[in-house]
Amino acid sequence: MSVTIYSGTKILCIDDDRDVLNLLENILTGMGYEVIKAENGQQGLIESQNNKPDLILLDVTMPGMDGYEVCRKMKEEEATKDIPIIFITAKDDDADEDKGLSMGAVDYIRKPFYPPIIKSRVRTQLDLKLKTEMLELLAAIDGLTNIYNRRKFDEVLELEWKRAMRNNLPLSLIMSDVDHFKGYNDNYGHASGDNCLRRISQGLKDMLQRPADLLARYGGEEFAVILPETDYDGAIYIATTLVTGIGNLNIPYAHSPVAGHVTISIGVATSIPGKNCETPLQLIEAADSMLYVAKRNGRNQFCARDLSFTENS
Amino acid sequence: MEEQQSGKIIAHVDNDLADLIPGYLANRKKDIAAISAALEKKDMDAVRIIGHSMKGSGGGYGFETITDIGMLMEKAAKEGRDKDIRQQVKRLDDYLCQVEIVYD
Repeated sequence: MSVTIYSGTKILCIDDDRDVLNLLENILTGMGYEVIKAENGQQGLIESQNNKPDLILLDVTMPGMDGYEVCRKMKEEEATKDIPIIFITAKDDDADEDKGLSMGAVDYIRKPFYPPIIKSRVRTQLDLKLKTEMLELLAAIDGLTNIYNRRKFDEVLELEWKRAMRNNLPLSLIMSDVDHFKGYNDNYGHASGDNCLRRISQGLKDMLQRPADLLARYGGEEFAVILPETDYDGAIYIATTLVTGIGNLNIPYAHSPVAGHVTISIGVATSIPGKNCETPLQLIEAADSMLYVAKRNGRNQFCARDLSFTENS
Repeated sequence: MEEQQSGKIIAHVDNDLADLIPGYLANRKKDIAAISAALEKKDMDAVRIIGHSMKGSGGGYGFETITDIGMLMEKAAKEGRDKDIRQQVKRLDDYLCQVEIVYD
């Protein structure tokens, strides 16, 4: 995974005054941004959902739904709650500014605005947004392998667990481990060991095609895969692909007791959250126990357990 | 930004806004007609809204006087002062006739 340098910034301007909208559009397109205009609060809400702007400039005094109401509604929606909002308004009481900021706006610019002020404040907020996104991304990524880290894994598993429970859907988990990795490090050195882990991560990533599946580095040489909405047969299919695929990478490992190349072992568990599996931890433990069995049975294979099967399913 | 020079009002406007200025000033002329019509109907709320809008937009385009007129008109409309509103309408009309635009 790489951090993308942001381009195509979209700014949504919501104001019932066309002269103000035209002025903002002029200023912002001159800075290279794409501008979306809305002449009332309702239209603004629709545009924010459809276009997912990077920043919203919002007037307060508008007929029908005022800017405060628009802001409140945006903060209630998952799709729009994190879009930064700057109020731009002729309401010039300190109390109005306090109200706007306490509703979650990131800034408050009083009209009439001086174009350089708009440019400066917009630039600042977009820069802050980009840096926040980069920080969040960095916090979720494992530095060696560039895939998600354990922290992200835990966060997503919790989310997917709740989602599956809500919708009565299967959730599968793969826990995998590089076979005899200590021996690999001992024989080839830690630099080679790091490289090996990178190649395995990339290999696993290439084989996992579905956007909803999440691959993470769970521990030193352990990898985990969350498979939402995947039943037992589906999970077995994926496990088979991964074991075979890593073997086919043919990463030389002359000293391996298993094969002449690097292999992995996999434990699989499938559940329908709430049925025979009460918590995400139980799912992890089930997959881990299957991993242990796979190791005991000779490695370079998978073992699976179906927790989703009940008398009523 | 505006300046007074030999009795003339000169508004310095950013060159990037050149395309918008004719339309903006034309809308202010329409505002004069709209305010006059609103006063006939004693619709102070309509006057207040137009004043509020002028207050918010004028300075951004480089016309601080329009912001000032809008502010005073909005206040006068809130307080029901017909005479003061008409005074600002005349002031706006005179301004639109006299102002010279210099693009910087």
